Amino acid sequence: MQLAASKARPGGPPETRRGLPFKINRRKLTETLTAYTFLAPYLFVLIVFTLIAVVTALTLSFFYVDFGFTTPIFYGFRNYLNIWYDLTHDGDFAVGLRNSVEYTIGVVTLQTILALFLALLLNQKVRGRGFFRTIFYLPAMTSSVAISLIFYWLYQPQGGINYVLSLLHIQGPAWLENPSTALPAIMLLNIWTTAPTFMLMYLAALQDIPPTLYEAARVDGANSWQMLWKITVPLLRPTTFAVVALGSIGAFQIFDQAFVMEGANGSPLRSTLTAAMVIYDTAFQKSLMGLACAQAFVLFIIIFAVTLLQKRYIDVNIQY
Amino acid sequence: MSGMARKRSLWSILMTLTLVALLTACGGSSSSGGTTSGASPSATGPKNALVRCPSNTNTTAASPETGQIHLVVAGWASTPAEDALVKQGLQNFEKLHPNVTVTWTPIPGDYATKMRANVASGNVPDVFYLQPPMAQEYIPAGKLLNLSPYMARDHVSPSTYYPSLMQDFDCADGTVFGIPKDWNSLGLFYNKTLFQQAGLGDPSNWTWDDLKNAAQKLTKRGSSPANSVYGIALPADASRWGAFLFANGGQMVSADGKQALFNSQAGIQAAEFYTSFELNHTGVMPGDVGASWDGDAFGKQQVAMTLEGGWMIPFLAQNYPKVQYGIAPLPIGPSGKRGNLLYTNAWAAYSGTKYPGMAWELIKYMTGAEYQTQVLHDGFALPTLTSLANDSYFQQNPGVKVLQDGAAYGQPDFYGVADTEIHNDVSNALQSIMLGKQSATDALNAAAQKVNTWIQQNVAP
Repeated sequence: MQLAASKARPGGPPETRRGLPFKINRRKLTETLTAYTFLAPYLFVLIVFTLIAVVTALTLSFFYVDFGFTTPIFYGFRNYLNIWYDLTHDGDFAVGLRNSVEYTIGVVTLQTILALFLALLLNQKVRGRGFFRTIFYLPAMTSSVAISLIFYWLYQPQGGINYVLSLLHIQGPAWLENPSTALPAIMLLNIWTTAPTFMLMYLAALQDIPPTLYEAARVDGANSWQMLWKITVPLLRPTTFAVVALGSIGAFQIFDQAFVMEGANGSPLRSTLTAAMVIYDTAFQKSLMGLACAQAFVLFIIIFAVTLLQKRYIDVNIQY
Repeated sequence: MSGMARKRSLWSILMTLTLVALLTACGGSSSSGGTTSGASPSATGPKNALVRCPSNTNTTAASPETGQIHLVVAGWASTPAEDALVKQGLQNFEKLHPNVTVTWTPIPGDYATKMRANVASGNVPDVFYLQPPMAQEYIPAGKLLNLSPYMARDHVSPSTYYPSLMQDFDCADGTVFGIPKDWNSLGLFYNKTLFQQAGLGDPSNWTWDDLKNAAQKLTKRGSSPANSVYGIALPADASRWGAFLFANGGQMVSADGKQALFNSQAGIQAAEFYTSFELNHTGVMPGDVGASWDGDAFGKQQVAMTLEGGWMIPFLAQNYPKVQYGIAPLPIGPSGKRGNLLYTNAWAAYSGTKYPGMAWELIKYMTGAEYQTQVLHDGFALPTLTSLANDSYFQQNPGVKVLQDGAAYGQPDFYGVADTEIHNDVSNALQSIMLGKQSATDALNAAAQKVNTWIQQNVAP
């Protein structure tokens, strides 16, 4: 086993890189062509729906565009300057970004811990393990809009959650009406629905850890707590990176749950307005496609930077 | 996996953007002949300073086309009843014009967005519903058939429709591009049983003070909002508050829509009055009592009054048939005026339609007396023709008459270029006041500042 920081990961064998470009092996050429033939359908989709889309969006972010009505006007950096003004004057996009960041930190932290906890539980040899694995995974298979509607009812002042609280003689708040509870309420819902997927990733990773490591530790007199912190958690780091990175990318783009439960306006008092909702509002309610593209790019850069940081600080390369 | 779902939603937006961009490039402009919009003066409606007239539009009326004609008609259907009503109307039109087949394609979900994609791709229905915010984009861009020449030829005078409803679908010189298809206004819905218990009489001639006192008398607070009865349900919504602003002599925006005016003294006073119910606990926001909207809170009899429109009538009949209620005009403001908000949409035709003559015939039929009478008798919405104001239906339904009278003193709930921004920011300001976070002055000033900045930055040069 070898633990090394990801940046030290060795590249491909150097010889292949140094090979002269014109000295083409015939068999290799056939192989390459075959590979690309198989890749073609996916590449086509990728180029048309992702690459062209991204390039178009980037271009549009320098224009004033209202599709189909007037000719686009070149705006230079004006859209980006408007975003800067918005960010420095507590505008909607600033509030949306702040909420998205708050939401991401809350959701990713808690859902990662919950996913690991559930995975550790279900990795035990207990009876009915398969049953529990299925039950825990159910929320992840349900449509997020359907779940949002169910939680919408649970969070009502006279809904399920406050009923349970009233049995304990606690007067629950109007979850979705109160600016300080609305965003946490949506966070809880999302943690509940996404944690199971990441639980599966952890479960798979747990199966990969060689049992011999635990046996050796036990021989050395380690207790379960020590084995968890010294063996399991460090060896799960690559998975933790995947879980945190995928979780953050998803959480930053939070849209549907907040949109369904609180409406496009991010009520109460913009407390559930997220960056993606502002982008949607800019593009489709206010018909400012250029500005919306610029906002989408700012969001993209933030997500990209956060992911890079996470890769730098969480990921490691592990070879058994 | 909902993480994926979220990711997908953003991607789908980006993809839509791209597709629309590609399609824009392909779909050529399709303006019909003619150079100026010199329609005969008899067929111009109210001048609408919010909307620039197109530089290039049809100036003549085409006769109804002959031969086999296929018209595509788009709109939405908020209820199955509405869908049935429209279909019935279109079928009757087909009977009158045997050479025409009409395909009704209701668009579910976000109508304006779908239509935007249609316009961008040049694949636009022949005749369609037009919302006021759509009108201000479609009209200057020349996307709509100029109806004024047709109205002049067929002697359909714009004055046969309520001017306050026509206005949103005209441009600056009064040229008509859409005819209102039906409409609604606000009324004070009051619970007769609760009124009787509190010893309150008919609220038809109430002033703001009367409303305030009544709300106090009607409120019976229990241990929690859930087991209380409140005087009135008022949501933090610009689309309700506007009626109070206008009653107090205030304005939402300047005539050209480029300057927020709602933070005037009249506006601040109106906001203080509107939010006082929530702050004094004689009123609630619907969510406080576990209702999804104020109509719901009214139906559950947790509030004795609310401001809503004609859509409440079928809603209450269907969900809360036992509630005894009446509809009164909105209370009179301190300046002695009433205010009201009007909600309307229009029928319009695409300027690039192959059958402009027949498209006009369809619009003429759907906004004519025969179909408008059906709309009224169906209890679905109010008719836009002034000639129907004395229809016998109103004698049987005095509450509906109250709503119809709103056209005389109401203003459209539409404020030009910054319409969405105004609705959002004013609603947020009201909410902020209701939650006790800001004074009315601070909240409205901040909102006005935000609207004005938005206009400066985003209104196309």
